[in-house]
Amino acid sequence: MGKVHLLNNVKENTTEYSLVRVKSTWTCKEKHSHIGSTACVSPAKIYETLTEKGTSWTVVTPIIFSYKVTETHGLLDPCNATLLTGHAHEPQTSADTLRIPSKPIKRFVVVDQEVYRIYGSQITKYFEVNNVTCKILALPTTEENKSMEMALKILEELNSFSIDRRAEPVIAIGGGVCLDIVGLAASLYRRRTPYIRVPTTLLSYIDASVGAKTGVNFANCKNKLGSYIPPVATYLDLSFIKTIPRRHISNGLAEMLKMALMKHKELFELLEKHGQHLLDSKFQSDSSVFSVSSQSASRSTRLAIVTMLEELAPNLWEDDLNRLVDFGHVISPALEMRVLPSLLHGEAVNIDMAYMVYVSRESGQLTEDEKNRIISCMVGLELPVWHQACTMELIQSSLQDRLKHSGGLVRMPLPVGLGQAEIFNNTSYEVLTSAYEKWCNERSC
Amino acid sequence: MPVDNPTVPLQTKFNLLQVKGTWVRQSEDDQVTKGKLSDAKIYERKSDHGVSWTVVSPIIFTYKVIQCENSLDPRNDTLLWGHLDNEDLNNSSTAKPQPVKRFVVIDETVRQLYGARVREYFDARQVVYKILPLPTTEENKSLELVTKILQEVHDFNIDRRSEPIIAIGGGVCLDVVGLAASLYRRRTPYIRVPTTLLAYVDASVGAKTGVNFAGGKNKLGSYVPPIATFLDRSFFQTLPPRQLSNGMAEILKMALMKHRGLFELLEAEGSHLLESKLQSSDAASACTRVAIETMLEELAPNLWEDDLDRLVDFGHLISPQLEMKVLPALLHGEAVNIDMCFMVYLSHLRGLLSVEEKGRVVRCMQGLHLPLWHQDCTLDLIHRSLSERLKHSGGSLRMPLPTGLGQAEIFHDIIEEDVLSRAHQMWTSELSPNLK
Repeated sequence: MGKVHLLNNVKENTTEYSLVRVKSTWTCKEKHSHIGSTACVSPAKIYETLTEKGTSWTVVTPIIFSYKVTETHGLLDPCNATLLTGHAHEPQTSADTLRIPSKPIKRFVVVDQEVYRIYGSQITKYFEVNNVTCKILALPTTEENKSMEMALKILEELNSFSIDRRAEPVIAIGGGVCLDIVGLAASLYRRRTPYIRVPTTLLSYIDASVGAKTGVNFANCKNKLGSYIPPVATYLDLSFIKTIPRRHISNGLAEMLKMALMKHKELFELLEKHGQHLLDSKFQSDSSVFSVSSQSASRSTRLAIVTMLEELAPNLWEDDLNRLVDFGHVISPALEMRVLPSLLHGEAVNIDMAYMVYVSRESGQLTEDEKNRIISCMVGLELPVWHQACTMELIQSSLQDRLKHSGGLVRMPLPVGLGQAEIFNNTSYEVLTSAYEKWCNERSC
Repeated sequence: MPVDNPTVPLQTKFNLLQVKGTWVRQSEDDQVTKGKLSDAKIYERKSDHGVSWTVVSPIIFTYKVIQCENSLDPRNDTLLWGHLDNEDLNNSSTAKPQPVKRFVVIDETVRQLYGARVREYFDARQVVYKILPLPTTEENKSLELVTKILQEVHDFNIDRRSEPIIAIGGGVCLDVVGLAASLYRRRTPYIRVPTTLLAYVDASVGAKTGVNFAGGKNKLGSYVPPIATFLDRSFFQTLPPRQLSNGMAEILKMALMKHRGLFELLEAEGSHLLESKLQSSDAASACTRVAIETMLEELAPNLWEDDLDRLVDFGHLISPQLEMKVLPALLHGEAVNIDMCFMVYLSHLRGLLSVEEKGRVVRCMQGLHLPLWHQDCTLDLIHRSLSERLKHSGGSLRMPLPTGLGQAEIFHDIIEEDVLSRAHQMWTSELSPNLK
């Protein structure tokens, strides 16, 4: 998968072909043959090798995934066109993305049940005022029913409602679980149906909404089935955070902190300084008050998004298993599942990160001062920094699992300063245990 | 795809460079940082509402299609290692001392004929394996079957990247396993070994996977190709004549669309190819090779069907409805041929094919022992199929039609009602069995 080296050392008995289209037909053309100016050349290539046993072909095709992540205000204001047409590419108008003339606009919308309770009437009004023929499906999208059955339920309704293959994206409004399930359903329908994500929690705003991953749980394992199909667009509206309970805002802050610790000192300092304010104000900046703290909501979310996009875009399908965004995700999956539902995802991530900060310190990658600053920041964000179920045994088995699933290397992201990190494969058992001891001594309640 | 458009001045293009394990973005003007450059780009635009980012990320899909002989001979490496390049092969054999594992899904019918040889192959090579036989017929091509496979794959516990799932069987088997593999861990490598002629030339060389859903053919699926397909003609030796003809329909499709030489080969050697079950002969080798080449030419540049204009759709505008309507009376290729035959009449009535050319095509189809007409393929069914087509193809019919022997074009305009009914009339009067 993704073996591009073939382009560089083509074997002697192998011929490289380009693919050229004339009118409706594609044809293979050898590398140096003449290609007319009216012809369309594909970025795909076919390499043909002849052997005694027959012919061998290698197809190399790039598929371009393009998606938008757009900040907006008042997404559900009927005058705001974003939700309906924000996904269309302006420089390239094509029949695929614009409304088919003389046809009413149709949209299939899946909303998390709790979100529907609060925003349902606004959502309904939005589509009514804009004359959209709409089907709104309100579903209880929780971790426990994040399953193929739920995806199928959505697919049945989608199929009955009947949307255009390309021009009528499915819309998902809710937290990470909702976005993941709808994303999977959309990627399966007709092998690929465009969809839009509207995250309503801080966690999904920063994390689930800006990458390509979709998924459901299977056989008691988190996200065992899924796909890497991004939405055509994600719309980020901080006003949804207004109705999020404080604990869930902390939950989202954990993922922001993750990016800060991995690669952005300024973001870390913002969270350190304005964490409490962000929690108190629920990320609602009062635009009439011109002060640094009132910009902290947009500045911090923006930095979190950009740092996340930087890490996800070059590795959309996880060809490279070395991923900084895995920080906080080495031990937390097992921890989260073990104590489900008592820890939220971000809380488990933070406990993992807190332990790893001690590991970093033990390895000499962080100073005592840096370690303490980080832990204080976490406490300031009202996140748990220790948990009794996070035993040395759980840590060890998580690392074993990691080894197994990552091609034999543990690939542990660790901070090596404030806002910078590297991936380590050789952290010793001694370091891990002495870090664990110190962590427990200093942080257990 | 967004470009640096002078009429949109507020958009900045960022490259992505990896420096010591961290990806950083860098605008075009700022050339300071050195690192590994990604093909992915991020475009940032600012407005009163806030910031908007557009991610453009190319994912390279690479897969091999390898012709081989005697794939089940234990001395033949292909089935186990054919998916690797030489350098990976060297790394692989020295790297892991632990036993090689393989999860194999096999058609129940194929298992009866070849199951013992498959087991012998893996036993001889000391592979730890699990063989899952499944009744992979059109009727149970469903998500339930996929889930069943997934449960077994999960229990067997394969490595994330280095132990591809192997599917051995006809198109249904390959489609179902492909979908299961593309879902597991969001992507698990898999290998296709087609055992029918139809699968050999069609299902095995593209990216499509899928299952039926709510009465619709292939309504759910993905475009994730296998890492390799192994093409072994020796499997045809156990195919019944009807299955061979079934596969010939897809070969004929490619011939009619884009290869006059292939058409003439089928015309001249059709019955011989069927009798010999496409075993060793120059005609059989040429036939299968050209069929694969022409198919790959059409699929590779459009792997994810971004372009809904597809020559390979020929024979597939009406046949889905027909096939589902009379299930299981018609095999896929048979339904495709009936569709193609009708379309040849339509082509002729539109002045695209001469009466001689039409005659040659019909005779060729007869020589391949394929059905040319079906009573359930009524004018009404044709109308319904074409309106479905219209609905699913962004408002245009996109009908591939032959414009000569071995050449075709895609037509976007609506076909007039009277042309359709005249075509149907002529087709019926010349080819329906009752009126002979």
